Amino acid sequence: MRFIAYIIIILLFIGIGFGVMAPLGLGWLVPGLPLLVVVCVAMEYDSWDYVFFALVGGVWMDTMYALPIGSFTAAYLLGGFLSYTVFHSLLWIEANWKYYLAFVLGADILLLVWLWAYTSILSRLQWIVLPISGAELLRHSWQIIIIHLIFAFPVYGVINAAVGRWKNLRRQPLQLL
Amino acid sequence: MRFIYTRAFAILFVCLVVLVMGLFLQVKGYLEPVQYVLLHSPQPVIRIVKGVTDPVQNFFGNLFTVRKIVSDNTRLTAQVAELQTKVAGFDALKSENEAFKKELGFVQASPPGLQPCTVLSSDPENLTDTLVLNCGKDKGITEGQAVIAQGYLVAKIIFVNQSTSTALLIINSQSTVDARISGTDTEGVVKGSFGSGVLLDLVSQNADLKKGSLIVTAGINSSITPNIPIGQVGDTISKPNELFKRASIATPVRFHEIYYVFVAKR
Repeated sequence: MRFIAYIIIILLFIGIGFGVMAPLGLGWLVPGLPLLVVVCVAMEYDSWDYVFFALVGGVWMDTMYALPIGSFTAAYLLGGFLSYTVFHSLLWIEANWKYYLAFVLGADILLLVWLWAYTSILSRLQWIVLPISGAELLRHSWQIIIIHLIFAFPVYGVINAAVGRWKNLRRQPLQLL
Repeated sequence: MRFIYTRAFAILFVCLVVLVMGLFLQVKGYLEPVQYVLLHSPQPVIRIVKGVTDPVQNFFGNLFTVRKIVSDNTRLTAQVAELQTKVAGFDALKSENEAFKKELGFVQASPPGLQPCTVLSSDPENLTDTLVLNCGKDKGITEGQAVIAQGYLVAKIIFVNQSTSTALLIINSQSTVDARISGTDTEGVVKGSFGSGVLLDLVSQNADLKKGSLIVTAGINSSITPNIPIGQVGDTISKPNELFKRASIATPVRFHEIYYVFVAKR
């Protein structure tokens, strides 16, 4: 049940991303939304659910962008894994939100470097037709980072609100008569 | 405890194996049914969301562009009048040409086959500059064919699956298409450039690049049908001492708002 809810959430993010954000010129938020979710879940909740978001959301994004599998997926996984490990092993402080932006920034840089390196290597191996241009990524990097940092806390708020609501529902289930 | 004995390592390792297997299966083409489902399943959600937001966006978009719409309208009205005069002339030439063909017994060349396709997914920013189409080998699509939207060349097929294909937009810096100025022998190469622009490059210095001249596909590449409009010559941006002339191309196509296309099968 939980994982079906997660798939619906990812589907909604894709719908909002491609249906609202992209026409408004906020296209870089489309691959950024799953990344923000992954980093938020990895930091805020001591669970491995971020792996599911990273795998399913990543494969979906790879397919929608006609990229080889692993382009977004591996970047999300690595971003989530590093956020989880660094936060829960090294910092482990109550006020997670203080560090959230720093983790988002780190995950963004990792995503950009990974996208360029991974597609370039696969292109050299002639497994894919075209790599993502490093110059193009560099040119847009500041836009990507700024948009992701602006939307980091709204996503953080939505996820916390959704989790809180879900917990309340489980504590007080609806009773029929 | 050493890292390799931790749960974190086990999860990461399993994910890595899944990714490598996924990549291998994708390269071999075995993941196509899964990709087909992943591409189609968000479409209803995207359609519903767009159905709600599009009217609002259009309303505010129109408010901010009223002045531009008015000036566009004036310019286009003048252009329509000019084109109508030309069409009248061309009609006379066409009927004359047909009459001559009949007299000489020429066989009418069949028009290129156009395959209508729906865009399943398009890159909203300049990350890959690709369109994923719902046409593949099953519809006779092959690599290198031209993709047309709103009457203009917008992309070239770079990868074909059984039921889907991937097209690279001509605005991508790695895209090149051989082109010609319509009605002349001036040839060049249309290249994408950083920042969503398209350039006409490698034009001989002797050639006369008139602003507003129509650029069409040259048809040197055997996969691309000749005479597909690409855009109009804009400003010449090369210097007189350069080996070749280079000019910007003005195109009315909004490359990131393409939903339906035609693939020209030669």
